[in-house]
Amino acid sequence: MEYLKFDQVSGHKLALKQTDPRHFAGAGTPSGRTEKPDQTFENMMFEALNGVNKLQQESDNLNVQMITDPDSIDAHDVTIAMAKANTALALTKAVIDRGIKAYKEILSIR
Amino acid sequence: MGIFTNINTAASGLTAQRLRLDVISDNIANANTTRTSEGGPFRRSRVVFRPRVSQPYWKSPFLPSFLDNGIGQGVRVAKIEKDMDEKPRLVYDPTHPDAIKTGPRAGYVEYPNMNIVNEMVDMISATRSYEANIAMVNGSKSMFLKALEIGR
Repeated sequence: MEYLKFDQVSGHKLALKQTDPRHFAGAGTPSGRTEKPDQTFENMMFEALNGVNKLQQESDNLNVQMITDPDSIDAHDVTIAMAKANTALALTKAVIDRGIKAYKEILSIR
Repeated sequence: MGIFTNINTAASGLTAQRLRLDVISDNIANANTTRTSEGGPFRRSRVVFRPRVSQPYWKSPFLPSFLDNGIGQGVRVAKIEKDMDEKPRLVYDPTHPDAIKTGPRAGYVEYPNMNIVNEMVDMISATRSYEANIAMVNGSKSMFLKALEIGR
């Protein structure tokens, strides 16, 4: 049986994603991927929470500006900022609720 | 495509219609202005809109069609221009300080080239467009909240 060698292949070469170090990787190439993903789940979560927090602060700032200097701002900018903050918070709440639900499911295994 | 793309698009429409309403109210306020710093009567202003795109919008003979900009990003104001096409309205009033002194049109006063009725119709149109954009924001928000209910 004739296998195509790695050098004989032309065109784009993409590394296969291997989750198990024992997976076959082809002759001459080290098996298994030791590199870590760029972002941990924790970092992603904190970045998302920072984004939500930024939207909340933006909405707060616009509210204050609306009260102190009403001429400098349009009413719809304030309400849209509030709607954005509200939407982002609803999404965050949905994600956290789902996470807690999964945790409770694990707790109730017996 | 982010969560807030359509809200941002609708917000650009809201801002544009607010500006249009500002211009219309300026026109109506100056409906009887006969004297301006550039001379002559007041001319009505009109707003020119154009779509807001994320990248330059160009075409060359080597390209079969315009570059694909994807869906648009909303509207932006290209310019606010003075309507110089229509002639000023002439009203005979020799005692008016801005009345034309000499020539065949002596005694006439030049009034702005606008019709208040047209401006009111424009105002209603701007208001309705504003409402449409707000309906758009509310629709997109309720759509998003509906999506959160999946699997609950």
